[in-house]
Amino acid sequence: MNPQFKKGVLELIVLESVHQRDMYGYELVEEVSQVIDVNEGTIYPLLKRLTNEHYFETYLRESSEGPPRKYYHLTAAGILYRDKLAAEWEEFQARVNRFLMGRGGHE
Amino acid sequence: MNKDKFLTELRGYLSILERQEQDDILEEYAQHIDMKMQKGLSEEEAIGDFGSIEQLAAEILEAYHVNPEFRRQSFSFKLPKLMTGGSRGSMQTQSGQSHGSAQYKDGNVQEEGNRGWQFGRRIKNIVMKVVCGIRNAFRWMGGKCRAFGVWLMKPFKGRKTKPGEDAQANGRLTERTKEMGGRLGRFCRAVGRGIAALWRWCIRFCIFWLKFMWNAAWLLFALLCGGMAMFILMGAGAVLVFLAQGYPFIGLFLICLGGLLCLGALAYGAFTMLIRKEKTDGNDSGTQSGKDAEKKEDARSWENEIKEEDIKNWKSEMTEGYGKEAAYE
Repeated sequence: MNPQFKKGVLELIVLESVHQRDMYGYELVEEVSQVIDVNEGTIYPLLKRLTNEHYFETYLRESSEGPPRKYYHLTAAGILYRDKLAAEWEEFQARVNRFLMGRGGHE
Repeated sequence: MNKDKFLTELRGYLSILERQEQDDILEEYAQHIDMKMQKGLSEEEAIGDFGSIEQLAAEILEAYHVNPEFRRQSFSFKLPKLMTGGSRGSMQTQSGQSHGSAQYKDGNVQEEGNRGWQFGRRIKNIVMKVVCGIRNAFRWMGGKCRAFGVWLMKPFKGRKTKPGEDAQANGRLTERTKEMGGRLGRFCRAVGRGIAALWRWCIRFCIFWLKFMWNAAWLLFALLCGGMAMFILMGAGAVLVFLAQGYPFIGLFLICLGGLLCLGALAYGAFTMLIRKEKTDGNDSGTQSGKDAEKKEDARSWENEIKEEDIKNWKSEMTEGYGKEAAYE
């Protein structure tokens, strides 16, 4: 898949994943990897950025194995942002689809 | 590459961030690697999945709106700055972080900590800002050269790639193109930096002379005042003798005492106006140049020490951190 495609939707996928339930970094990486094949390193900077922009809140929670984990939680601003991105994505892909379909129909 | 080395290297790239942020980020990566290893991957593989550290660091810095190029360009200036005092250092870091104008920091670079003389410092800052502007212009040219290089390599990329070729090869080729463009850009930037360094050196030389003249003038004034004070002291002694013999010279004596105090204060004031390098530094401006050279040597050895110490600190702290994690398990 084109890496440029991935970069754009990665943010949406991350937001959506955390929207469903709070997650810690590694869990999130695994979840995202199921949807798109992505370099694991790039997800943490994204989380950092979204946290810096107040779309995420973080808190620590003890885990049975290993050190306490940092969980990410979507804030109200984050939910709004997620909805906005999702709507944009819907419209974008609908348009592209329509274009591709239209072309296919003419030929 | 093992985990320690990976984290140390990554921290090196993130040194512009606050210590707490660095720890925060590294903690996350350390945990990720640990979890990968728990799942049966080797340390090498787990770290290999992150790709290039430099690129990773660039992405992290992007999250803070920091220019990733900053560190490489100005690393040599950061350490001397550490020595010139905390308040200014922290102020610069803040401004650098808040609007990402990392180059601005170089504007305040001062090779020695000269305390007390605000006005001079301000002038110096202005001069440094001008120099910085010139250097930035060169940097900008370097960047353009790089872009030109990339553009130049574009046709080759197009010719070599057949439409049927897989995406991976395509990616590799793009990388190669970038690298070649990058080399040209780096060369141009190196030239730019060289010229800028020469400029800086000239300015530093001028500043040194200005300082020298300033010191010489004040020293002369101080010595003059001191000499006069001595003369008046002698006069006061003579008047005292007359006074003891019954002459009505009490007023003259008081004037002498006043003059003595006044001139003494002036001489002292003039001495404090001298720009000094260190507390132990003498007021003799004649030996200033020698002292300057020594000071620079000092600064250089300091830099090395700091680097080594920092690396040691990181290492020890990180190993401590892992010790704790191990205890959790």
